Amino acid sequence: MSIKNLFKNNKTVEAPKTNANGTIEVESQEEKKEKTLKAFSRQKLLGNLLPFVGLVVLFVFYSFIVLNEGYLYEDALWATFDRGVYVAIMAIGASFLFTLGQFDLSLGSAMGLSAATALLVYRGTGNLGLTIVVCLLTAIIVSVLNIVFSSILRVPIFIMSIAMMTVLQKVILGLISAFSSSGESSINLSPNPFNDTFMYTKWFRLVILIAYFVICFIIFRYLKFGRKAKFLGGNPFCARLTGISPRTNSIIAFLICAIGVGLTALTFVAETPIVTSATGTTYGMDIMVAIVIGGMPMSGGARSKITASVCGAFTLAFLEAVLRAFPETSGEGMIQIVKAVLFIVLVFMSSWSYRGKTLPR
Amino acid sequence: MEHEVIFEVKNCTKRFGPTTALNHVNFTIRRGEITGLIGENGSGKSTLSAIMTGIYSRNEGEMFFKGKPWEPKSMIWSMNNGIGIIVQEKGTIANITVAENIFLGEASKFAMFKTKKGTYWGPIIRKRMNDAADQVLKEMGETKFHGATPINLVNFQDQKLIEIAKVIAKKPEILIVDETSTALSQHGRDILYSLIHKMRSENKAVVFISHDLDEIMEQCDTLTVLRDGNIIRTFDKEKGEYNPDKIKESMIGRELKGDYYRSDYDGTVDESKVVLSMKHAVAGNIFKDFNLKLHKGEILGIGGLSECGMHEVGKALFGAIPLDAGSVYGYKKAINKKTNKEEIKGYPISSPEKAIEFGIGYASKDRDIESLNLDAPIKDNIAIAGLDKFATAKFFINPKNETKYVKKQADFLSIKCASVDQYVSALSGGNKQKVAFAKWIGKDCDILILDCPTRGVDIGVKQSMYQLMYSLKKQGKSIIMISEELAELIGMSDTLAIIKDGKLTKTFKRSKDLSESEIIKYMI
Repeated sequence: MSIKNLFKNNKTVEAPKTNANGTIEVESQEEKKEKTLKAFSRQKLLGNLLPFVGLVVLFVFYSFIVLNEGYLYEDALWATFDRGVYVAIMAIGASFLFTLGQFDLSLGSAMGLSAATALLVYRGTGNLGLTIVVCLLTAIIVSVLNIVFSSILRVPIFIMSIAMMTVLQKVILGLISAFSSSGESSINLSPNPFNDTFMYTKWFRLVILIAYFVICFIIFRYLKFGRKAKFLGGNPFCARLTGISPRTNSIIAFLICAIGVGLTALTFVAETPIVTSATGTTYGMDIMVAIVIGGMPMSGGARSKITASVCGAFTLAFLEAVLRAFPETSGEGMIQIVKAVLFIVLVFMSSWSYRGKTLPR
Repeated sequence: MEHEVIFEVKNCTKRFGPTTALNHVNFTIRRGEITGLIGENGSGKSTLSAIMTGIYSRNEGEMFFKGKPWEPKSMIWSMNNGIGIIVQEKGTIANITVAENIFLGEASKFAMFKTKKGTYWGPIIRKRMNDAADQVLKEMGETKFHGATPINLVNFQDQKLIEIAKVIAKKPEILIVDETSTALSQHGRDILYSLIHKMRSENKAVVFISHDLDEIMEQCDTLTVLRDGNIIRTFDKEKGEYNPDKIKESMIGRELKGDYYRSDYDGTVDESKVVLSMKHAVAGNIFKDFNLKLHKGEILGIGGLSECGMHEVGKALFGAIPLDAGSVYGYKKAINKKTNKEEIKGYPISSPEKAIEFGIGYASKDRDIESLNLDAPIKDNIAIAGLDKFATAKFFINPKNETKYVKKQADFLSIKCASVDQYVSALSGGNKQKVAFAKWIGKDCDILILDCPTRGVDIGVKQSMYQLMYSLKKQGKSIIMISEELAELIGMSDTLAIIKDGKLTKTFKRSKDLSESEIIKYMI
């Protein structure tokens, strides 16, 4: 028997099926397979489209409010874009961490520290190139410290990142007290040196968002690392026995994420060159909520999708904008409560279907 | 003599999304009988038993238990109401004790105080629970571990015994054993057989699901064959209907032709061509001063009792277990830069990454945890080991090439699926095993370490797997086959290494006269 046909001959003859009337139904294997495939494709498509449907619904609703109230439509849309763009850029990188089944809550604070160091370097040297390098390097160093400490202390990165969040805020405070005039509670550049440059415009933020997304999309979908990250997130035990190093791949994911944090800090500094100890502190949670709203499973693994980051970030931005349009829900507290409830509901819904089958970490 | 019907399934249909797993099935279980359920992978055996015990709900049909409609709400509910199941996959919970596993959901029974109404409250008396677990284990004939033993210290095979104890403690009227025996050691199997026969003598009923035809024919009174979600036929032992060929034909829908194992008895290998070796290896108390050599084109069988250390030896050869002493080396031809001549060079295998880089593939016995990512599509599982095979410029994945690569493997191994995008968790046990196999076959490894490769695989696929292994051998590939089935070790190996208590006790060369009885004395 040819090696090619070893398993072929095991295809079974389908048993005849009888319908309620007692007549035999004949459905060929091919017909059956085609029908099944179509149904699978429909289910998959529906699952992928649902978060985008949510985004479109909120967009339409928001547009209706803006036009009804007589605001400038274009300005209102750009304002919402600005509200979502920082979360979106960081969420793109954070998708890799989510895919691995990990998360870093200190991303927002890391962004704050990167922005602070960038401001200090620019203020001291006026060198834009050096500022960009320092901005990115700071984010990378914070990320590496997170991994190294969690590896030495053998604590999950998520736990490490909570501690790191506090430490980073204290570091920013230290920088403020060391490099600011007495009485000031921020590091700032005034007037904004980027005011008349491309970096100040919304187009710069859009270009950074698109460029970073495209690069990450390619890494996620078309490079070996993306496949390995998804597999590792799904089952780290099996991944290890398939030659995938959890440590190496975690480091790569954190580095990609750090670049996103650095880019966010850069766009932030170019638009608003002021950093306080509170800068970025809410972003950590917002990133997590955005990724989940965008359709990313909490467990990571094969169902992870990088589009969840951008879709979720702007869904969140439109949701916030809609909530602010009504006096009853426009308060900061109320917005946070709505976000939290939405997060819990989405996590619960995703748990319902398959969380129980995933492995304990 | 026809026994009283205790359970009936009428016109039952189960669909998983677009896939019909059971198609208008009628099935009867009688008191005082062990009913065998047999069929190919994906034929619907586990689905039927899962519906009977409330793990799945049915789409159509009716069920009757002791003449009354049966609507199980969950597996626990079913167990508490008379129908228990021992599932195919691992069913114990980690990080708690054996006793806590046995009395899962019933810990309150061991609370300090009892009310007049018969309910319990207050703190749990652990000693009471542990003693009760010890009692159940003792009744089963298991004394190796106790109720207080943490489950993590109990090996994979013995954890299955705990699952059995958990079900037996509920004293069910119907016990369903779903492909459990392959996960048990011989000692465990003996315990299981004695339990099911005891239940039969007590006029209770047992449904026994297995791929081992000899086992199922020996243990069961009737045999019902399922194929593609349809009941094909029921064979009655008393009526003399047990004919292995007829049963196989019913199972696979055709006559099984050709050799089952390899037909030749030429076990010679080129002793000078060692491709993998283990030298003076020590791993804790599992194995000590262990030496092994695998040659080019050799099928090296490793056998022994399940806890002898053979599974760990397989892992260590793959670099997945750190050695306390000794080494594992892979050997390949390489150009010596000094002399510019080709010579055999040894490469240390100290991690799975290095093993894979060297061309070694490993399929673990613990399939669902170590060989597969259940929550991922078939495509991801097969492609992950062979990324280098279809990546452009070593990094870039072309989805078309990937799909082509995966489909080729899935088609070659006839994995029963609607599409390669289907999640592995939705496949039957045997088809999962095929995916685990396809992962390494596609990578075209030079050395394959297969730990219990035919576990949970039906007879037709088993034969094809043996023939595939033989073809790979003929192509010059080397295979280490770790197995608890002596018949397949004898049937397939060029060299058979027997391990006892972490030590190599005997090595046999392939021979026509090699018998199980001759081997067993070196195992126990």
